[in-house]
Amino acid sequence: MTTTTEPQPPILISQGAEALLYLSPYLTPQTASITKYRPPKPYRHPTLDARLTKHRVLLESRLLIRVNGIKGVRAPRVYYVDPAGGKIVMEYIDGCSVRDVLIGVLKAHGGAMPEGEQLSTEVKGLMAKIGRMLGAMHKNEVVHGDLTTSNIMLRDTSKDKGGGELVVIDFGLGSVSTQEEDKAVDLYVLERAFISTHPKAEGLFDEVLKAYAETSKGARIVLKRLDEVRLRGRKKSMVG
Amino acid sequence: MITITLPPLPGSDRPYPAVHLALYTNVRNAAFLHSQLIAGNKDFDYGFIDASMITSTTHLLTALQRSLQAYVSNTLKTRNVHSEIVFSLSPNNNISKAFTTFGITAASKTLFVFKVVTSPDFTAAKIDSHLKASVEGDEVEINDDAIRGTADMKKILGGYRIQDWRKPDNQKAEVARDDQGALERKVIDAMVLKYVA
Ligand SMILES: Nc1ncnc2c1ncn2[C@@H]1O[C@H](COP(=O)(O)OP(=O)(O)O)[C@@H](O)[C@H]1O
Ligand SMILES: [Mg+2]
Repeated sequence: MTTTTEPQPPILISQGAEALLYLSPYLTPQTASITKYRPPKPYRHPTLDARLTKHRVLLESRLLIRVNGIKGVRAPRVYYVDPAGGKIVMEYIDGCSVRDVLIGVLKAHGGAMPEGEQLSTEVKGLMAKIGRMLGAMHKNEVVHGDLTTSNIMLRDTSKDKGGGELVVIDFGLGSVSTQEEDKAVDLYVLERAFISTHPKAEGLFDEVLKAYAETSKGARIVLKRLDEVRLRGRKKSMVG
Repeated sequence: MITITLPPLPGSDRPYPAVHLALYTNVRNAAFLHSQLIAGNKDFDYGFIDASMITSTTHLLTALQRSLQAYVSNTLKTRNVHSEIVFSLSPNNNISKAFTTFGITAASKTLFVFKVVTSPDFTAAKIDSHLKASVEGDEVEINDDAIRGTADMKKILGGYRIQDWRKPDNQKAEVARDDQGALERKVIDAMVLKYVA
């Protein structure tokens, strides 16, 4: 065991509405980790704020642990939780978001998503992988609550055997549910996010759904429900 | 004996104190060491862990980090930072059970010994010579290979109530190289669940 190198100070890598994310060493100077820290909100009543923070930290860490127990789905491993302090320390995923992967593909093709033959089997394969992963997650009753291409990461391919592995992050709005409706909404949220972030790659989303459908009978029922959810969404946007 | 300093968590204003740490095999005077601890002999204010319950260096450091975090944030659940290391290893909140499961007993054959440097008096030279004079056993280098040798898989599976270990060798004591990572993940999950269950 060597511990001679000076540990790097924490680096703030993301500042969301609710949480600050730090990259920092954990246990040894060589082990990278992510700390998701929910600081106190000065505009909330302190007692209520403390209760809410604790609730969210417990919810998110329980879901992360649960998801890691599901075959075919990966989330960052949880190393340490301080519910009262608003902290979850978790595995650092060395890679990039699916969002960045798709943007990279588009850039490489002059801004347009290649079609048909041109569409690389790699990108299609990635979409299918996402579909299968969501199928497995939903089958095990985990609903993410905020699916976007930013919240699905791809572990760096150039390294060891975990290369190219998908990892779902950010379970802050997640829940455990057996309801088809909740799962259909989960897919709908991803579909909307997909279309707005990657308008040129809209067609790709079908690859996700195709693979999702193949995961179970339950998944096909969820997809029927997705049609209804889309219809409601359209009506709502016409009214609003 | 080695001396380590764990990196603090982001947002902590107090760094963790340094820790002296040693691993012993073939321990012959565990009963004596245990009795000194029970008697509250100040000279034996150490964290004594039965090494058979430790899966890997990461497992060991995970428990240490928790106890140091409790120490710097004044949230110790036990008497002091040394007893907190033993308690931190436990998957539940039963303190006395934690001591009989993870702490030194009269029957311990392998030991991790911790000394958290909470006073400038606890210099490496002083602690090292006191340990050399006090622990009858063979000091060995701390690494994952050595820990696979001191670990007792059967006891670890029992202590952490790991029921879904489907490997055929779950009745054996030794931890195979290929199993160390998987066992470590299960153990750390159990330690995390204590805080979120
Ligand atoms: N475990 C992790 N490994 C690597 N990067 C991460 C990890 N968790 C979060 N991030 C990065 O931090 C960003 C924000 O984290 P997230 O959990 O999504 O918080 P928020 O609720 O603010 O969206 C992510 O989009 C990702 O870039
Ligand atoms: Mg996010």
